Amino acid sequence: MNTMIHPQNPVDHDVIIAALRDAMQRRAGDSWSDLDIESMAVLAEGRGDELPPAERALLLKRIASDPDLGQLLKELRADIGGSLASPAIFVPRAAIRLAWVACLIALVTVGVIRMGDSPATSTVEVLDSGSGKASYLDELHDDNGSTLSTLVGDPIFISLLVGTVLLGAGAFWPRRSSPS
Amino acid sequence: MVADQVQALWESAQATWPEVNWPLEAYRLHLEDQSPTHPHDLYVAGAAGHRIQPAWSAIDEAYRVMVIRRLERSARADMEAEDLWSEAVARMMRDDPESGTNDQGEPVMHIARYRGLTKLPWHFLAAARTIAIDRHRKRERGPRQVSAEAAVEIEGSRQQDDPALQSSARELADVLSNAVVQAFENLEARHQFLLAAIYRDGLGKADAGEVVGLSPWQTSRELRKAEEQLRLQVQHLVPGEWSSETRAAWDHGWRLCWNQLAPSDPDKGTFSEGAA
Repeated sequence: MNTMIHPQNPVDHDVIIAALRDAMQRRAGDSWSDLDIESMAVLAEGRGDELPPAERALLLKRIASDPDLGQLLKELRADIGGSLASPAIFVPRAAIRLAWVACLIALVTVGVIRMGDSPATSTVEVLDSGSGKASYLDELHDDNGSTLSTLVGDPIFISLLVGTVLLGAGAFWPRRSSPS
Repeated sequence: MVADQVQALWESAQATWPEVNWPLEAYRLHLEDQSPTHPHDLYVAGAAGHRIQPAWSAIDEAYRVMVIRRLERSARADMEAEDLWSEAVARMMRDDPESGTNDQGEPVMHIARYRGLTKLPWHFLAAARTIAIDRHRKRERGPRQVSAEAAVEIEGSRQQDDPALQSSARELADVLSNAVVQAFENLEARHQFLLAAIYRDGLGKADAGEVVGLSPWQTSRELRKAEEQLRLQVQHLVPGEWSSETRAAWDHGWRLCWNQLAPSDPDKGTFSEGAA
């Protein structure tokens, strides 16, 4: 190597760009006659780990050295990836989350109301010793079983519960990976 | 594979393709010891490869429209989707003597190489796309004279410099480009792929990562590693302590280089982001 060429000396970035471009473009364009298109399709499906490791490594290196193969992989991913994905739901996730919050609030509200209406609750008249006047106290029979059965038997509550669960799943289920 | 399993697969495949009558023994031989992901497709492709005409008809009927629709989504102006399908079929029908002969002593067709790893329509789709891109690149791109182009660029940017400096810059560019090629080749396969797929081809990080089995955050980590490895290798191949200016020039040149290499045709995808 020429000793005059020494990176200690400041190098203009144009020189580096030219070198990088030269290096990367020099690698382009092998013959595709021996290309295994099935392996390309498997790779495009994101199932490259099912290929023999040596074959996979060779194919990855080959794609890296040929921009047209990179383009082929990209187009195949668009073709195959689109068809593999579950049917697209174009409702923004924020809207689903908003609906989930509304459903959750409604669920809690209905639950509280139904529990308040529970027949297990009764009101008794008592004498206030301080004022000497009559007042009313809720006499709560803490009968969880009957409260629960009241809620379970309530179609509105159950509908809201199901809706909350479904919307929650839709709102917070991890997404498929997408291009950054 | 156990004989019972092969028989079960064969019966199931026959039920899927009732018009295709391919003997169990032939299917067993074709399977060898493989456990294909798509045994039904392997059955019809194997039968087609052994020149059983109903298998070709069945493939055409089952998959032609599906493949053509997908090809039409991003059909190139110079290639009709229907033509691409026909050419893909023709390619699959080529004689492939290396794969042996059928009962009549005729050479098996190329489709017999299908291993059942992917769905058969995707196999045809990949063949059609390959034909389209291969033809396009051969027509559009002549042999490149990159070194000459690079030299012209350098000279253009340094017209005011004296000849000695020009010559030195050209020499340094050659040394660097050789070092980059060598450094790139020394990277592990998935690092090479990530750099090229993301920065050169404009594939999304998550997409590129999925191809090599990485999660998005792992992809970012590996991408950073790949960039660093490449730079270190180049430093190693061009010995001597790099000055801070050279290091800064590398980072700047790295970004601009990938921007210039990114596909210029908007239909062919765009560059995702800067590299450094």
